[in-house]
Amino acid sequence: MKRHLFRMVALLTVLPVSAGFAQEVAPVHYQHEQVGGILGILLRISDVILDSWLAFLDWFGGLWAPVLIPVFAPLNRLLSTVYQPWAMIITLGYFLGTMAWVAFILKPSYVNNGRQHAAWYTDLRLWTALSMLPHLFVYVYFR
Amino acid sequence: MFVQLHWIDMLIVLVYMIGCFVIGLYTTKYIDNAGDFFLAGKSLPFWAVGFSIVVSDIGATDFVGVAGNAYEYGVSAANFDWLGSMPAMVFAAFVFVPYFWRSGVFTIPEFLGRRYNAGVQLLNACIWITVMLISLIMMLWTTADDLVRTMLGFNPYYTVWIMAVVTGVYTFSGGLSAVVMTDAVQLVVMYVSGLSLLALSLWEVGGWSSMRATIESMGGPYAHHFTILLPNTHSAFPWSGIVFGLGVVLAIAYMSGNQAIVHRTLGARTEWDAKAGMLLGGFLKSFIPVMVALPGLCALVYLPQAIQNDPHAVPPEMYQMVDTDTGPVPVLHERDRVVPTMMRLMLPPGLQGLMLAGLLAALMSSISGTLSSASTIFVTDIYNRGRQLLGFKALNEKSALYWGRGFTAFLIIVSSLLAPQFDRVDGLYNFIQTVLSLFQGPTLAILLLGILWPRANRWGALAGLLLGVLFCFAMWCVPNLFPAEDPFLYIAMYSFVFAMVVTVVVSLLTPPEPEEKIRGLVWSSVVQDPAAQEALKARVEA
Repeated sequence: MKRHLFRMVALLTVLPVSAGFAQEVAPVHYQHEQVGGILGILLRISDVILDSWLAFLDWFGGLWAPVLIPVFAPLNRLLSTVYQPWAMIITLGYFLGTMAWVAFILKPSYVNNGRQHAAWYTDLRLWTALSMLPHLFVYVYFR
Repeated sequence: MFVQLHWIDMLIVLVYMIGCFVIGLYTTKYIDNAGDFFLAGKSLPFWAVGFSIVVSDIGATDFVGVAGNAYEYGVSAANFDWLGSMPAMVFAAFVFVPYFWRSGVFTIPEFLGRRYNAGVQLLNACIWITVMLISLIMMLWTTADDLVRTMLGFNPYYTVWIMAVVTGVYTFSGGLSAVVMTDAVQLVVMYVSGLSLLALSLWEVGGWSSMRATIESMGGPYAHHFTILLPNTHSAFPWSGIVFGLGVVLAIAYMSGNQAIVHRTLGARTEWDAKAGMLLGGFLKSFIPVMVALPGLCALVYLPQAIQNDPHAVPPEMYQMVDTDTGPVPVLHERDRVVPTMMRLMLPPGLQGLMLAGLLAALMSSISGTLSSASTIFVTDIYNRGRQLLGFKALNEKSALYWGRGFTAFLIIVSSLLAPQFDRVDGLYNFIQTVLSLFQGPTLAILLLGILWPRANRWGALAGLLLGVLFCFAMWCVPNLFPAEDPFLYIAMYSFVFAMVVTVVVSLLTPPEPEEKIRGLVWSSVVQDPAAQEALKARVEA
């Protein structure tokens, strides 16, 4: 009980102090350069780190572009020519295949291993089918 | 322009915050050692596991980001919670979770350490700590800036610190038990508020059929708003990226290799509870797009009506006029501000408080879950493992508990300090997915091969993970490499394939792991052999 009381008091102390501190040092939203004190120094350091990081990303991207673009450009062209209805066929097959895998391929003893009350409603094969069926309807509806 | 909260709204939010705080602190009395703090004493029933997975996964970023994506791209935004959840959670439940649970590990990196070696464990742990820190910062800033500031006009610095302190204190005190207990309450609050917003949104736009007809008649960029799998030429969510990148790689990697998700199943009381919890979580997650994405679609119809009725309903600088087949329509510049704007304009007193509580619930559950998982990884896989590698004694239960709490406090303070930097990032949901995609493909490759292929060894895994992440990074840095404007779906897909190939090739070129070492950790071996598990545990501890 004492422990809980201590934490409540600590929270009630820390909360307004930290909030007040934040209000005090951040009078204008987004204006890091106007923030003073320790928080201001930390914000400016993180500004420098972020800017350097972005510059590094540009350099690194330029380094790899000549290698990666010739590899992926043909793959992108290939994918863009795939017949659109295949998207729905593959997706529905993915849902149905997953249900069939659990229901018919995995051993029931493996699927329900650790079950404390053996009953039809605790059979995870049934849970899998019931959870996935609504998705099939949704994907057919928004085809 | 901001919402003036009614006293009823304030009361609802206050009762909710204090309720979560008290419940979180109440669980402290069950915490005596590291096992209680990190894994809730392996006592969680399936419903608690399922509830906790859902609310930990769905944060305020999802409420804001998914609705924003639905506003801009249509129902295809829902793929992340449908195709990107249920099949992956079934695979996680029946392929990965049984092995994690049976091996008695605290974390995924620890499992990788047992299956491969300490190098893979440390590397994976460092990656996840980094990802979790970025996620924490994003969650805090999104709620503070995009939600609370847009709705109430509060200073976001102020909001970040309040959220951090309230959530940090109960996670610090009660560990996973506090996280799961508060998650159960937060799930109820989140669903009630989300369904209220949905019901009101549909009511305001005249129902589903009317809304669909109105949006479809707009044509142009809205022509595909009710097509779930978009053409490969679509700039944001082309179907090949969604089906293969998201459905096959990102989703399975997220549900099976993300400590923040799998953590709850490791604390389940039985293997069945762990698997059932994962399935229940997948089922409950199916409702998220209904609550979150549909209000984003409704906004396309509702906001023009609201602006027509009252030109000052939305500040002119927040939107632009877009030409459609039915004439010019006002569209918000920043899609992440759709939900807060809808809440401000549409909800009556009482419901505004409930909705705000729901958003705070989504945020707090995600923060607490991430904090708990990050501290478990830090203590188990970085600090304790590092000590052992340097020849020091392993931490005892009490010390591990203190370090877990200390890191929890450290992480939340650092996140709060860095949060303001993220006002530079637009489209935060996609940003988080991009960060995750850099690591998820390679992580899934070595996890999957580790469980399914006994020949995979430590050198293969280390090379697959390192080179896989480097490959991801290179792909990410090259502009316009893929047809999508946010290429994370393709990055995940190709990095998974690349890491698989590297792991297989390097494993075949180097000696295999001893059979005794991988016994009980791969699909084909005897998994229910207590003697083998004990021997494995003893060897790891030695």
